Amino acid sequence: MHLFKIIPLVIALSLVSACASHKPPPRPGSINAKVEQLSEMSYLQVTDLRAVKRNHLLTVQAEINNTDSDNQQLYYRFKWLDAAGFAVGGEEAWKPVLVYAYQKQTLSAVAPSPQVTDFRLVVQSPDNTGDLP
Amino acid sequence: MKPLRLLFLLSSLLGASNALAAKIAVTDLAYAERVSGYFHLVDYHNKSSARASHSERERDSFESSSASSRSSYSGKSETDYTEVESSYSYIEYGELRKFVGDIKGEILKTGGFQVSQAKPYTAKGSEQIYDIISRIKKGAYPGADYVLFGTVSELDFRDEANPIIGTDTLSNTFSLMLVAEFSLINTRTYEVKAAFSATGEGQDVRVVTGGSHVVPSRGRVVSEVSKSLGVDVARQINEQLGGSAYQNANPVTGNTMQEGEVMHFSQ
Repeated sequence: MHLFKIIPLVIALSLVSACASHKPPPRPGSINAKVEQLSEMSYLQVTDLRAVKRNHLLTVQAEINNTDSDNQQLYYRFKWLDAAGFAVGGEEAWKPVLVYAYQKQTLSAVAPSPQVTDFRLVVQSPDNTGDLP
Repeated sequence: MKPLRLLFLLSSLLGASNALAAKIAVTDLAYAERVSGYFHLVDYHNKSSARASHSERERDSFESSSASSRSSYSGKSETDYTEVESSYSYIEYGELRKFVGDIKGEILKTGGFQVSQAKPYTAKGSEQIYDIISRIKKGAYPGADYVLFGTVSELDFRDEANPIIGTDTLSNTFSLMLVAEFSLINTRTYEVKAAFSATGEGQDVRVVTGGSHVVPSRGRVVSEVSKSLGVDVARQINEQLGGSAYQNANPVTGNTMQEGEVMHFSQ
């Protein structure tokens, strides 16, 4: 009898914990919707992100903030997508950037083709939490 | 027997609704263009002639000897020089026999109208082309309830090459923009039911690296202009006549962002 009471409780608790660990999808139009982190970075944050169409080419600018007292290494690359969501051009090479302690670094890039209408900024830092973002 | 009667009723109803749809005739886009020119004419003629003659006579005998010689020379030169310099300017009127096909297509797509063919304006270009009432009276739009009269406001081609910041490539843009004014005129009362200006835009963008040569596709640009103009006209007619929301199945502009528009992503 006692066991019958415990089993539903365990199931309910496991469901609640599963829900808690699962993050909601990023809001459309937010930075998180455009930034892909390969495991969460401990000290680096994308604090500003904007895009503009110049000469029919998408130009993106991102601001990276280092909240640590040490310099932090960042690797980044852009993924360019067309209106249908397909990747345009080949994969870009990872680009290294050193972000100094407590400083902000601006990254900018221009889309390789006028067909590009969307993008993703892929970032990783050797000093990360190891958790999924 | 009953289903047959129903079918007849349905077909007659459909026919009635089709007959009720207003007929629109779409004119070719009228334009007036100032043509200016300059000419500089130089006419130069030179004619010269020369004649020379020489004769000698000598006589020798036992008693006497005589010698005579004669020479003559005549020359004539004539030069004619005319120089005329002037500039001229006149206004050319006509109809642009392009860009209206898609307007007719998009009007048909709205479902509220029938399109009838207008007679083209073939008379010698003059300001008469803008006298739409006289053209209606002359029967240029047979069977039409309305005439969509369009005039070209501006038509400009642009060929630009802009460097792409941070790269050694150029963005070569070949674009055409057409702005036209339209009036939807009732052929009986001459009431203007809708009036607006519509824009058609088309471009061919190529990314050029140093040394490469690109030839823009004019056909693609013209086709884009025609399609976007058609969509804009149908949308505005629908908007001003208070029709149901016009939805274009194939919007021409696939890009969600407009040129120069900044998208700022929030935290």
